[in-house]
Amino acid sequence: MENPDKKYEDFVRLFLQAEPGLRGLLRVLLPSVTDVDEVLQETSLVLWKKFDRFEMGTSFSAWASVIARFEVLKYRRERARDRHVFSDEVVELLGAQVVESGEALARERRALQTCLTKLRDTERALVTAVYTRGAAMKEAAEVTGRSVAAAYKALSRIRMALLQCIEREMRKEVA
Amino acid sequence: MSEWESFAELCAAHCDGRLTEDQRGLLEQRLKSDEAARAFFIRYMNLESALDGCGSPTGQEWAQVPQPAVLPALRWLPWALAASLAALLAFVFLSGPARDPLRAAPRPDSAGVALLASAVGAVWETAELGAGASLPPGRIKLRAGLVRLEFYSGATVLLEGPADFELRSIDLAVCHSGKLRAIVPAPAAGFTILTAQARLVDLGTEFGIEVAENGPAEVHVFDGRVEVHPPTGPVTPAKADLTAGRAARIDQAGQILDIPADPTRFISAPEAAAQAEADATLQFARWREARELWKDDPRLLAYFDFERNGKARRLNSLLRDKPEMSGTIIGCRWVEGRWQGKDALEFKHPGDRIRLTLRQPVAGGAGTPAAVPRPDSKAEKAERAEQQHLPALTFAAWVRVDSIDQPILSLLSADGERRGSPTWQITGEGKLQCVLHRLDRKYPAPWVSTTPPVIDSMQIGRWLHVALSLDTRSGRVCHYFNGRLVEMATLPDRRPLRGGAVELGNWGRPAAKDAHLIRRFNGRMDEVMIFGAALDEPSIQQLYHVGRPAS
Repeated sequence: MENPDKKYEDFVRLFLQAEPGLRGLLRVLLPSVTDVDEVLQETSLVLWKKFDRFEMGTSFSAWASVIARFEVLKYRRERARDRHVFSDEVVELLGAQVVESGEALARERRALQTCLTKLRDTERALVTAVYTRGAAMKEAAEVTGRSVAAAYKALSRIRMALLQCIEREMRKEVA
Repeated sequence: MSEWESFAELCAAHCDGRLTEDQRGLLEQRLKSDEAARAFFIRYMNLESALDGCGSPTGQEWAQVPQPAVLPALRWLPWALAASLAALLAFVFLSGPARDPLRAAPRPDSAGVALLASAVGAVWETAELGAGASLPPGRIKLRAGLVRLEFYSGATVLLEGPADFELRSIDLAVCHSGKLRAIVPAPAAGFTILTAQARLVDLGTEFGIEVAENGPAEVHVFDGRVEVHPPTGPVTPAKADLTAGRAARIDQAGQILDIPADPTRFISAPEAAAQAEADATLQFARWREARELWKDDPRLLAYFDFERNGKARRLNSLLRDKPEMSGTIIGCRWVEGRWQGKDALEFKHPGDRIRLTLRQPVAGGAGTPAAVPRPDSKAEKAERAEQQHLPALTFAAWVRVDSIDQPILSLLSADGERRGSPTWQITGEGKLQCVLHRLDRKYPAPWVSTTPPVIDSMQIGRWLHVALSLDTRSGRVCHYFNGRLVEMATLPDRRPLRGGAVELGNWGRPAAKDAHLIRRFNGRMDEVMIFGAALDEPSIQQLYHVGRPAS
């Protein structure tokens, strides 16, 4: 029998490495961050229970993605019929496509750090307010002196600007 | 990407949870039938997932939380709201409404234009800034003290408080009021300072400016040449051309009057450097005084000041009544710490680490022989186990990160990852992270709490204060960076924390083949405090303020 401490160490290491990617996958498939947190926790439990069956040396994140996608479908069936989760078909289509472009998506997440520094102060203040955990749009709009509608509009513009910046950064990387 | 505008609106509404039933149907239909739409949606949501948790300030000095003295009410607001409010206030302080003509220029993007090279006795009216900060365009107001700004064009400005100064770009700044000396080497020629009455274009020189509030400005040229232009309008032939040894007063009407030059009124670069050094000496002394006071804090389990005191391989805790908490140094190198004359340990090699045992102090206190190697009785074993259970912990450390070159840099980690033992580390993205291992049988996966990115490229090579508190009674876990609360989380259960053998600056076996098993910290440590209680935010702030190095 393998040393249980060693097994656990391996698991922790692999899980922490795969976590940002899993979070990204779940965010594509699920309607809210709260849903992502719940399914990620479930997924981590299943991964640990089945870790004996994982073959070291193969891709942990690929294996974890399969389980995470399955957990999304389960989540939809069991608890989220009324919570606007996409249909099984769309979950399958999106899931497969995310896994295909996993590497590129990880690079895009990293490029975001550069792009965030290029925002104007007013834009960054809004991003700060909106994406601080637990803050509601109403509060974010209030503290940045906007109406809620204007804040949604500004946020949507910022997201587009960031996507474009990320695209530029990715092209730079290739060049 | 513009062809995606309308679909992006659907994606945005989906992110924000404000889709109507119809829109939801539309989105779902599009995702089902259109591969390109799926690709766009995936990138959009991937961005969303990366943004989530980017909330609190990411090492942006502009967005520092104001001092509690300024806004005491903030502490009582929900944390998330307080942080965003504070970020906003810092922003408002700095920008202000655009009323006077000097402020009419549009603000370019906020990439840094100058480095705050040093700050001596600085009292800020605007958000507090620390040496090493990269300053984007914006206004800084200094009540007192001396700061040295190094513009990325190569120009240096020594600004003396009280002053109201505005950075516009790498070669343009506005002096609203106050006194400064500008040192402009040849490559930075063209560096321009605006005042209400004049545009001073520097042609590779050294000069002083003093601007009275709503009053006249004086320009003293010590070296080289300065052109005086009207403050607005196109750059026309200079109204005046001042050469070395000359000075002029420009009144509110823009009239230029020759006056005698007086270089002694403006602090010189060597004087400023001497002041910075004296200030560092003073800070070092102040920290030493504070250390003597903290030493008596009964909540401390161990206090390492990283002063070598002749002992090369042992890191002594300052607490004489708790000697069992001394550390053993493996590898590492003694180097200079936050101040000249302060020792620190450097971690570079995979084996470098400090080992110590984390536990409750032995009842009876002083003089108890710590570790005499002899067979343990059952009772002793039980007692030891009991000592390893801790209801709360706070780690606070001064560290210098030299490079984030691995997925994980370990600050402190438990040997063997036993149940309830904490690990504290920095991730490759510059986030602080706390991992608690195997909380119980039902939840065997590690519990992780991670901050937004706090250590960016600007923080590399600077001394940083990091702290983590865990309280199993309230269930609260708090991360601090440079005295600021940057993340809060709730423990999944209320079991006590586990002490035992821990390592500073490393984890695992040095010979591990797998690169990810090495979590070597790459940098220096020069102070580590471990408390058996959860310190509150004001205490952490105090630790930061008293230990903050000059530059």
